[in-house]
Amino acid sequence: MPPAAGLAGTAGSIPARAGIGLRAPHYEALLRERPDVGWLEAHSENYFGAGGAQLRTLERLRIDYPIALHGVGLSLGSSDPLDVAHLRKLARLVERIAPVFVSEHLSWSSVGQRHANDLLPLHYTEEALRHLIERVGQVQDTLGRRVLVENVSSYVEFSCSEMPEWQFLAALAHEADCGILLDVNNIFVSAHNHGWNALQYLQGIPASAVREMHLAGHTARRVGGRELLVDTHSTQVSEAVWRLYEAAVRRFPRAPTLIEWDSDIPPLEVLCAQAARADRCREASDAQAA
Amino acid sequence: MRRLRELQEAVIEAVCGDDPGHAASHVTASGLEATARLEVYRNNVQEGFLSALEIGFPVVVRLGGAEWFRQTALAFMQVHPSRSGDLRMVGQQFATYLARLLKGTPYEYFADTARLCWAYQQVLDAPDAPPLELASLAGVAADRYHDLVFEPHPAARVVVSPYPVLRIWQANQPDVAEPPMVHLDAGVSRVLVLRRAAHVELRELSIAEHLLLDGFAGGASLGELVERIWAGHREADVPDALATLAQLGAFAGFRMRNDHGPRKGTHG
Repeated sequence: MPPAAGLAGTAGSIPARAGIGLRAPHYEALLRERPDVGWLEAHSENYFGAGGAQLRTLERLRIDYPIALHGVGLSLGSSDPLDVAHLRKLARLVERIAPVFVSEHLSWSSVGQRHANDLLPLHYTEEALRHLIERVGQVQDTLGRRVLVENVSSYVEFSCSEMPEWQFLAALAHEADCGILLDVNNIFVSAHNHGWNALQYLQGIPASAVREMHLAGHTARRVGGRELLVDTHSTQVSEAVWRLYEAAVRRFPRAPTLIEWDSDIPPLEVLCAQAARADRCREASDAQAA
Repeated sequence: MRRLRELQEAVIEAVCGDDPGHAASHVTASGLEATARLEVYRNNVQEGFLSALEIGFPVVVRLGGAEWFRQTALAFMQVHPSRSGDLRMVGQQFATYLARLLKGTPYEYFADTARLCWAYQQVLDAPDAPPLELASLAGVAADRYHDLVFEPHPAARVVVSPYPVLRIWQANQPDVAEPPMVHLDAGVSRVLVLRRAAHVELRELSIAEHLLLDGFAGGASLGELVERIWAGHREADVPDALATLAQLGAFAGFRMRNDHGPRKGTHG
């Protein structure tokens, strides 16, 4: 493991204030208005091109905002060999942007050259844990820095799992020496879909490992006569998730939060207002703790 | 890792293929059938693929209508499923697929319109490079001009079609409320798709401009191309075509035939 150019080196460079996901429909408004949000997070794959306006916009914005890179296509948990070409593009982007965080997902999306381009859940076994530890190590060695791994929303659980998701994630962070990106909405969605206890999930995650939190909106769907929550990123953070976030902020007070919104994207002010609400939530928690 | 592999192969078949049965046997039902739970992912996969195609081929969506596009995209997905972690790549074979699908129908031009959309996508994030400045040719002796090989800009593509695809493209932009009538028999269209600074521009090329750009891309020298063009098109104004391409920024550098490295941008 090389010296941590990542977490340790950036702890002071990203504010505890909430940030927002960087999406193309907001480029112009962000460049023009430079809204008062703490930081921006970009989907890594959107900037894998060799040049062009997207990359240039990211480079302009990084002058004014700390930038985090969030990958959705590496297929970290796949049993296929790691996609070296994809990882090389990520490394090139990391070198170019010098982000405060680099994150990937606790999931897989491809096997045997078939790509779902979706975040598919793992089964939580010792075998899968050893595999993930090795893969995270490969990624961190290539990038020369620690990465964060994010819990995903899930709609299935596998009967062969040997431990709960939070235990798997905590063990991965400990043994692979990576950080955790804790998505509070994803905890809520998965807890609803599988009958987990969301507060128990939070308690099972070591506070020192959580370097970032995500908040997003979900959608309820009737499936087979039952309500399933689907992680759509298409609406505001639900009130129930805000309540869970209050507990998360008390437990992980130093982890900066990001508002994600990926479809039916609203005007920039709506995202900024959600970020401001996350800030107020954190301030209230800090005041209570003082 | 045998169990991980087997489970992942079963799940990918359930969400991208036809058989959810094997994966379902590994899923905890908890109040909802395993196949219904897997169906959420199957739906996500389809919608993600469809959305990527809609974003990449907006003019084809507008030409065919949303429902036709959806059905066509889903059929395309069965033949050409995603092979990349980058969703933007799913449309790579779409124009070829449409060409086969629509051959002999009045909608053949959809395929060439799709090729134009794909060229546009490729140009968007192609490498940056300063355009060639004509002043950089000052060091080339006039008696060696025939050996010049211009290097097409990396953010330039040309789409040639028997249909007026540029006019079709322009008539089907989001800000055009009532598309003007475009006559499909208006003749061959040769469209240059070129990113200049942050913006992608589309422009109709003359035959001489197209043959020059295409010839240089193939490594031919200016002298060879002049002969080739005049052999078939005596009326072509090759010097004017060359100047136009240079002014547009369609070249990023030049080399002399038999030289090895290209000469870039503003230096000779």
